[in-house]
Amino acid sequence: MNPELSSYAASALAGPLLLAAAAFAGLILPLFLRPLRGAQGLLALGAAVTGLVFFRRPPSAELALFGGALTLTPLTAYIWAFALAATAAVCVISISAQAEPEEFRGEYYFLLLMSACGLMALAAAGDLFTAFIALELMSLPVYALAGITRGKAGLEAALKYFMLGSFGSALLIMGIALLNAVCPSLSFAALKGAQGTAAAAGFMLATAGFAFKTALVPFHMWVPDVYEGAPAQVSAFMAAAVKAGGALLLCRLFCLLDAGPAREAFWWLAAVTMVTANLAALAQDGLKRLLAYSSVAQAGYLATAFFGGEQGRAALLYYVPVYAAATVGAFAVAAAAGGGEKGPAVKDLAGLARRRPWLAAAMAVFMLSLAGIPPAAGFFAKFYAFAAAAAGGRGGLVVLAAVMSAVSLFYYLRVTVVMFMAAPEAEQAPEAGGAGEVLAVLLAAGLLAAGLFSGALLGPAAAAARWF
Amino acid sequence: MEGNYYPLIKWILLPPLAGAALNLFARRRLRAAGAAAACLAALVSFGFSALALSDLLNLPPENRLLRDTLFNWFSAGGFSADAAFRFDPLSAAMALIVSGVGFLIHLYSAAYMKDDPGYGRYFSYLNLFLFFMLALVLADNPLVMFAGWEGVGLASYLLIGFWYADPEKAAAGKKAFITNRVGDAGLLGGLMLMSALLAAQGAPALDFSSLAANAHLLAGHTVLGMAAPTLICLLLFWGAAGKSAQFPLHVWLPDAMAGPTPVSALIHAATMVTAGVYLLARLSFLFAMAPRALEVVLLAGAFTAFAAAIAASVQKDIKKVLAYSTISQLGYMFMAAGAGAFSASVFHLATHSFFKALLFLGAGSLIHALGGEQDLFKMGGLAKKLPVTFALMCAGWLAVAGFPGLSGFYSKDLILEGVLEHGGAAALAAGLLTAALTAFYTTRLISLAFLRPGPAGGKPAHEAPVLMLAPMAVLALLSLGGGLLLKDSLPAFLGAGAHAGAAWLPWTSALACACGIGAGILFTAPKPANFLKNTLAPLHALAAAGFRADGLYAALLIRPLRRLAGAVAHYADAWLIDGLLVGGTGRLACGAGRLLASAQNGRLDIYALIFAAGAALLVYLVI
Amino acid sequence: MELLTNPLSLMILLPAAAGLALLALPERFAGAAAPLGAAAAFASLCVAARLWLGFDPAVTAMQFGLDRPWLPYFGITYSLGIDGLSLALIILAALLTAAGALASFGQIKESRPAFYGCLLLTEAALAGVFAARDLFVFYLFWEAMLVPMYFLVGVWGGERRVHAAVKFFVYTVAGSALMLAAMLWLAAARHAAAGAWSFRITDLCGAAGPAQGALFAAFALAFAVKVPLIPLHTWLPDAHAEAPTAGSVLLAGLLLKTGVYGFIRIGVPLFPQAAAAAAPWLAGAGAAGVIYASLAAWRQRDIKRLIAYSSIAHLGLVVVGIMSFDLTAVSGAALQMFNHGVSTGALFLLAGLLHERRHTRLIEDYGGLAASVPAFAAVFLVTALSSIGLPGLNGFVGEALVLFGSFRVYPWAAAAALSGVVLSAVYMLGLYQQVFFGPLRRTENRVIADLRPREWACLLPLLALMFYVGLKPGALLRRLEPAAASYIESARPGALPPAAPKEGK
Repeated sequence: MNPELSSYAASALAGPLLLAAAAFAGLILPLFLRPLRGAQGLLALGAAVTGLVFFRRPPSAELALFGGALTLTPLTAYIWAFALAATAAVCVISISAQAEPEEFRGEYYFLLLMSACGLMALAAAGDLFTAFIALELMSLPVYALAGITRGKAGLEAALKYFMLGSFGSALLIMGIALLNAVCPSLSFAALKGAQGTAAAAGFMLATAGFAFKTALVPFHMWVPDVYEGAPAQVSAFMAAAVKAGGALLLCRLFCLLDAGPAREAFWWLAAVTMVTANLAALAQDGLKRLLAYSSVAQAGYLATAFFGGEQGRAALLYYVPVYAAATVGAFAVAAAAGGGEKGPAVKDLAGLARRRPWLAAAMAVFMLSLAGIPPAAGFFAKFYAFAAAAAGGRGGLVVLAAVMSAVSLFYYLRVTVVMFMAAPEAEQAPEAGGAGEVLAVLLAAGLLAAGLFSGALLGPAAAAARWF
Repeated sequence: MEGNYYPLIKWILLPPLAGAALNLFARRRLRAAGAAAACLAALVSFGFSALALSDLLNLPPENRLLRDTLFNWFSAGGFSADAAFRFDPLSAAMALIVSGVGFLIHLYSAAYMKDDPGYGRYFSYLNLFLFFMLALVLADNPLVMFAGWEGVGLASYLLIGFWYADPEKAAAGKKAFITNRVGDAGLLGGLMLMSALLAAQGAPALDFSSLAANAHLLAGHTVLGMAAPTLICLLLFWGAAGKSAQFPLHVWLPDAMAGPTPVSALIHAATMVTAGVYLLARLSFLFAMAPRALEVVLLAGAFTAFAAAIAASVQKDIKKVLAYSTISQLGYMFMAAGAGAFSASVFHLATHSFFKALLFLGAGSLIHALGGEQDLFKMGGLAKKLPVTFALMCAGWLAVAGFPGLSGFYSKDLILEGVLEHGGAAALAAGLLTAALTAFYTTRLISLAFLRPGPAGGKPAHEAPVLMLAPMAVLALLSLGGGLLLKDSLPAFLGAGAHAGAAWLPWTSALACACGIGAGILFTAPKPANFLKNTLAPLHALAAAGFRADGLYAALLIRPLRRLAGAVAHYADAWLIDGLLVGGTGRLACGAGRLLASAQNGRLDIYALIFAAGAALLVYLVI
Repeated sequence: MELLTNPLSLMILLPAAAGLALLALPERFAGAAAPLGAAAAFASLCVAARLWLGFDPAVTAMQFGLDRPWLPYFGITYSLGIDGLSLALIILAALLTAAGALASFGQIKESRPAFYGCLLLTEAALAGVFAARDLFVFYLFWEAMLVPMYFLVGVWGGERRVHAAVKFFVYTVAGSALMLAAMLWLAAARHAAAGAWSFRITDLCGAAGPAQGALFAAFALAFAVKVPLIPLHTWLPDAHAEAPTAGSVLLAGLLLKTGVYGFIRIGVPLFPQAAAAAAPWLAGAGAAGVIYASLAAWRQRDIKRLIAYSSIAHLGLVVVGIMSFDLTAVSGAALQMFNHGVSTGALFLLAGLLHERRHTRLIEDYGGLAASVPAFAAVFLVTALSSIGLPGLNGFVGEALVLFGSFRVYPWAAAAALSGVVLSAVYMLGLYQQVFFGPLRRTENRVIADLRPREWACLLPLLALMFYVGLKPGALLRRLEPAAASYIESARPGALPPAAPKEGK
């Protein structure tokens, strides 16, 4: 390995290592140092932000570490940056909303940061087995995070998530075992184009496992209950980071499959997801439950981008951060708006525009972005994804996607209707916004900027897309 | 583009427009001065028309055309229309009548409307009418004519509904405008068909001279199974019928009497209603190519004349009598046009504007004297109280009845000769019968109002002021001498050849006039009147209500259209499309949503089951 | 840089910037929002005037062209350019926004900065739609203009504003969903054929292969919803009736025109064969719309709903003109789009002023107003007459050109549309009579104020335009005719795409 590459490897690895260090520090140090007791959140946030600040542009070369288990490519660099940003955002919400009880703060941030490390490892996984380990590293902490509040809904969410998550992992392992028979090294390069029924079955089981994480229909049943039960910031992390990891792996698997029934299976997954999730979302009253179905529907749009070849993957990489920003923002608003154990109902947001105009404006931008209405970045993201899919010859899927995003507009608009047009029952004075509100406004501004100057985000996404 | 450039034509048009603007914007400050300005504007127009006439007469007969193009109104894709005006014998005659009679009626109105709060507004609308009417008759292409055509419709709408506080009067105005609009749609349709056919053959120019030259191009085509010129002429006749209140579009004129009486005199007797006759005369070269259309015009004219005459004979309201009389006389003019005697129809138009305006103004001074009373049976015995009005109205009465030697006799005789020569026996019979009926109902009017003793005998009635009587006197002179004056000069001026009619025709029309007058005097005596009324009771009631044309239209046309509109607005729109289709899809989507969401029952085993089924399906798909 | 010097892109950026600034206006400056909004609207009007003066009618190609690569990865270029038609509609947008802003002083009470912000953002998006030469930019502005209008109707509207706003937004977006899919299908086809992405309209002209019929149908659906053509129109009466005055003015004056404009600029040039096949059906729908909407208008009891239905009738006539591909008819239709904007805009302003005084939209609450507010009655009469097409006013010229021109191609459609001449008189004079004539029974009607100077200021320019365009439409027609000619040329199957935009002045 030439020296220039190795120096990059060192600085790149600094990111996850920093997070892990912060996680352990947050867990152990408060036992000794009194002042650190409540500050784990800031510690975690500091780690994520420094990781982002010292982020170096990756050389366009593939760097295998640990004998090919981890490979550092511009793609991993892109995903790592995304992971750090998502973690930082969730930390900010967690600090301002503080759903977790006082004494568990250490554990809360420890689990959060470890899950982030899991995501970064997943992105760098060179072969399927490492991917499985990274996936487990990412998922297990989130199972615990879902029930951190100890409330009845939280525990129910955690239990369901854990049970179904392990069921999904079991399927994944079976898939890997089948594939191992066909190609012992399980590395993505070697698996390319593996033939035979065993390989095909293995691929499908692996797809089922990863589809569970990205919550494609019919593997999405857990999403509404878990997102509603878990605290808003944990749901935000699940919807943004965990789903991104799953989608990344699904896309990797998709690239391994050559044209044939396997790709048709993906076609059905995307189509059924979009239709079911959007229609089910129409009937939701709880805000977090609505956002849950919305995230399932967005996974459907992500799946459409698979079919676009390299441009599709670029669109996918552009889509993920834009979608994540909108969803995290929306959950931040849900967290800021309070509401009972299961989060605010949509009608609890009534008159938010008068109470907290900036928060309402930010929420409006998130809703329009998720619905795919210009000038928010969501429109650009959907446009690229559908354009690539159309170029990939999947016109039918694009038509379905376009119609379903029009249907989705109805439930996204209901939120803006309640905030701007419905009169609140009790006349509340405008309250001061917390850190969550500032984050929401920043994310909304980011979404508008990522729309008009979308070249700035599309460029790196396109560069990274070559390294799938 | 033959016809010499004559810049003065615009000066015939501009004064009334200026008068209208002045009165509209400065009506509060200058009451009397505004009225004077309006009358002056009419006089100036008349002056310039006379000047233009004299210049026209200096030109050799075959090149009598003066033109004045202001600017290109609009042109797009080969279809263009200039704001251009022409002054040829036909428009000269019309311009003189319109501005002349218009001026007299302006003077009359100055006195008649003196104490009306809307004085300035009245004169502004009257001048506006004058401007649009002059634009109509002086237009050089059908589009400017159509502009004038709709403009006079607007002015009549404003003037009929002048006292808008009264809902009936406002409704009458709206009815007039909409019925005119129905006619205008036909006229526009005819123009569209003509311009489309001409443009298709590379002759898109629309000014009247080029139309006359290119008319032959239309002959070859058949549209909707009939020859193109015939269809065009029928549509144009539909437009003319709308404006000139001919059957079936006559229903608006009797209601138009809701307007002030001078308005009825000017618009609904002398000028606007003659626009249809002018249209036929202006496009006579087109009608000449469509004999079947002319046949329809002849029959329609005859029928209208006859039916309106009957209706006029039984009206109680003095203005309604004159309104139906106008419809009848217009029927005469359409009969003449239908028989191809266009110059005869214009001659009758001229004489008619004299004596009919006179009768209306007379009726105005009667109503003014009796403080608004319009019912003939509440008048009676006014000859002594209003001697001057009585004398002047007698002149008008005799003229309209067709008393030999007066203007009505000559113009009606010329029409009957044209019809005879054209060979329409039925039309001729109807014409003579109508002549008799005309004499009858005008005599009835005069005797009921002036000769027979009646309730108004006792009440004080003061004579009209001189400002009202002077214009009536002028009109009386024209009614008496007009026939002799114009008998030969007008048809020759309009280019129609002199022809000797049958000798027996003048005598028979004189006989008809005598019988009419006799019957008129006889049957206004109480006993015979009741006898007549009882024997013909059903006909009497029917005719009195204008053959219930309004009721018929309401039942056959307006009410079903209203129900259809209701069906469209409430059922088709609100319920079917909005409720069912749009709302339906919305409810369908939400229903499907609820169905899918119901699977979310929180039971873990169900989730795991669906999860496993999904995975199995995936694997199955691939193997 | 060039984005700010080119007047056309300034026409989009200035209102957008002003709009965003007003949206972000801190609470304590809320009082100054109305004058600021009006000032920004007048500034855009000046830019529009600059466009008019700089426009050279002789040149048939697109003018004020601006062509900067924006997202080369997907072949998207930020390319703008206008011809006579776009120019007229941009001028109309600037004019009606200024009039709307001025008229809203007395009517909008709460959260005024946001109102003026949304108004200006709508104007910016409209200018974008009319200036876009790239299909992506067109679609972006096409959807973006719905957002501020949705808030205008939903937040400051009448009683059923929420229902109207959501129906308006979802209806239009659902209509455009298929257009998005069709647009991508087309771009993908071109990408497959030419090997590179491009969304420039000129590049996509020949790209539609055999699936042209379905693609045109998708585009036509999106545009037909906006025009609106019967039976896709039921969002319009609710949206117009419930919107605030300035909202109704922009909705009727311009948003409807984006539908027709879509046919002219996008629908027909991209799919000439399919358009030629569908033209008779669309003309038929237009003509049916004239009769249907006029009948529906006659039985409305709400003033603004009546005016809304009259808009459907007018636009139906415009579609008959557009689809006849006859130079006279298309020029007339383009002129009629401008005229309808002026007269219906004025009608909604007047209805708004009535609502401001009496807080009711029902016709029977009025009666005999001519006695108490003569000036208002006179202005309303002139506007109503312009709307029903009285010669001498602007409505007639457009109507006559369309009728005479389209009669040569679709005699039946033109004849049906001709009935509109009669029916429009029926419902408009019916409205005028019930509101202004008759006795002055109610005391509230006796005391309402006549037109104030500020209200005159926003009505006089429109009245002047009605007379000027009615008598001398030459200035507008000279600029609209070349645009109509190039549209007809692009509609002829196998025609060459129009020339590349000429560089901006």
